[in-house]
Amino acid sequence: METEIQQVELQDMLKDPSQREKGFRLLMKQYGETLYWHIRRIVVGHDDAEDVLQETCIKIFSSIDSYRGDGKLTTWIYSIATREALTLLRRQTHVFQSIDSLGSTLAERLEAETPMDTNATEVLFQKALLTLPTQQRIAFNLRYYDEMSYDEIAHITDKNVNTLKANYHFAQDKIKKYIKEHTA
Amino acid sequence: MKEVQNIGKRMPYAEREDYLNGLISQATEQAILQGARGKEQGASGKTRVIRMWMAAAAAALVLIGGVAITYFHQNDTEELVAEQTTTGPIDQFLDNLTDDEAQQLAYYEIEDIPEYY
Repeated sequence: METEIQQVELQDMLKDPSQREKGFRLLMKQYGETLYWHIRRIVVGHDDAEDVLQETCIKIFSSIDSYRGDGKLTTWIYSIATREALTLLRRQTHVFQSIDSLGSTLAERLEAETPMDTNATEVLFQKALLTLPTQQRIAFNLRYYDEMSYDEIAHITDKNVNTLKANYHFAQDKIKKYIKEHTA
Repeated sequence: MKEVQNIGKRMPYAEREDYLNGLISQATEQAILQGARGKEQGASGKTRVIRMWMAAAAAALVLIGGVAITYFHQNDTEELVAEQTTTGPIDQFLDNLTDDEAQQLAYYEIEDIPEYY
């Protein structure tokens, strides 16, 4: 409830030109870290996550006027971050190459960015996630890590709630299967 | 599978809290700065467009003026030539000739020309 009130306050501040900058600083202080990790889980690499976070901040601040306030503020900023991250992944593909085929590249990046002493199961779990199609992976991340409702995820990913539910269970099965295959 | 359940939501990579805070703060300030620059550029863009339109209007005015001056100047010259041709003494003389006199002039013999002493 406290967060909801803060969101309303933030919305009011962001709508008021005289308080916009202050509101934006508060917004980023409150959600910047979760946004970073959401982006990082999509693009995997830290440098890419940094670039996407910067682009996301610029997009949020420059498009505040277009935010009508019908949906939750967090859903709106997550939508922007997701789109920016997908744009970066698309830029990393060749012509006619789907971003879903970036899985192995992202897995290599994951290994390169993982410290030597990291728990192998943590890496394996992330590798299993990277075998999922990108949109499915994003939906899984939002549900599993950010604990969002299917409605919120549907809003962010522009997908049907029932499709998302089915995809989440499908993703869970696929991850379990992958881990089983790689631990046996 | 139990191990997977144990890792929960931990990621295999981590970033220092102060580093992340710095990164977010930097991205925030950069976005605000970009936004302010965008507004300025938007305003100077408008001024630039207005200036361009004014320059184009001035150029069009000069062109139209030039064409008009040339046109009227040509007409003036034609009028002047016309005036000169009608007011010149030879033309006045020719205009006042009857058809017979004109024919006489056209078919003259050298002997008809009076000699001047």
